[in-house]
Amino acid sequence: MKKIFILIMFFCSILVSAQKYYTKTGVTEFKASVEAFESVEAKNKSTTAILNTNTGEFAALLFIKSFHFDIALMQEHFNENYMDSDQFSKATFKGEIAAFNLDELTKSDKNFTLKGILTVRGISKEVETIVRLKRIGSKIVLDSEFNVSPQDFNIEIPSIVRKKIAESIHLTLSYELVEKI
Amino acid sequence: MSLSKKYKVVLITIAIIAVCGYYSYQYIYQKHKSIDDLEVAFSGTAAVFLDKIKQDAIKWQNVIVELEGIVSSIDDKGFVCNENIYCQWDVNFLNSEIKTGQIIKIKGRMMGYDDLLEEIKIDQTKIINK
Repeated sequence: MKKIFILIMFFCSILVSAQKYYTKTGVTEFKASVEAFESVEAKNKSTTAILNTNTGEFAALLFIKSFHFDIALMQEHFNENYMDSDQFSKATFKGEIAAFNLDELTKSDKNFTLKGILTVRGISKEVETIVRLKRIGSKIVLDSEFNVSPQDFNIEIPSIVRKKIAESIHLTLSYELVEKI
Repeated sequence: MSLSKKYKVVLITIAIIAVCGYYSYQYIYQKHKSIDDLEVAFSGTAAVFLDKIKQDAIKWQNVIVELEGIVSSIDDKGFVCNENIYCQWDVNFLNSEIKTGQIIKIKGRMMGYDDLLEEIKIDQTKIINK
């Protein structure tokens, strides 16, 4: 009897622990372009993201220096002058997808509200946005976009380039999560 | 036939503008540095590198490393080396044929320590044979 109980507990623990979906190569993009000027945009293809499908808790992490700009000089200025990425190497997000239910996900997009704390340059700010979730095969595909302002994270933009960088920075997230075994 | 002074001045001015324009273009649109242009900060086995990271993770951020280790698992964008190092392929190495358990020698850029998955992340990974 005791053995059966232990066995049941063992299988239960497997079921509980296997409820995480993640990616190590999620794509996070930002656009801060202003019309008529050189486009200011970059892509990070190495974003880590984890979704706990039991609770809807969601966390993401990326390295600032992994943002790739088309123009190398712009990338250098971004890291050295704006983001101080030697000192603040990571940007993180921790939050929760409200009313998340794995069983509700289908092949077509379903909207959920994601709320949490975004930390950039050591400064945390609350963010609320809509995420689109769908299930393709064994993957959960998460897409979202939201805007942040450089002032929120004490990012100073010199007046000489002020007109070339948008007031509001548009972020796009695209993560394909697979089950964590 | 000698050129008029005014004509010479115009010609020299145009030449100066062209040269300045060329160099500023080269400066603004300079190429991205490849990992081969940068100095290798660590070269050795993945196991030794993991020990160094445990001592001081910050020191080893954004540096070029050459590692020798064992392939633990593989996904479509990279592989895990020595259980704790995720290596994301350089675009030119995306379809490299590797097997789990294989001993591999790679070069890549160490991005940093990923607290969420508790592993090291490397990108621009290339297989090297020496």
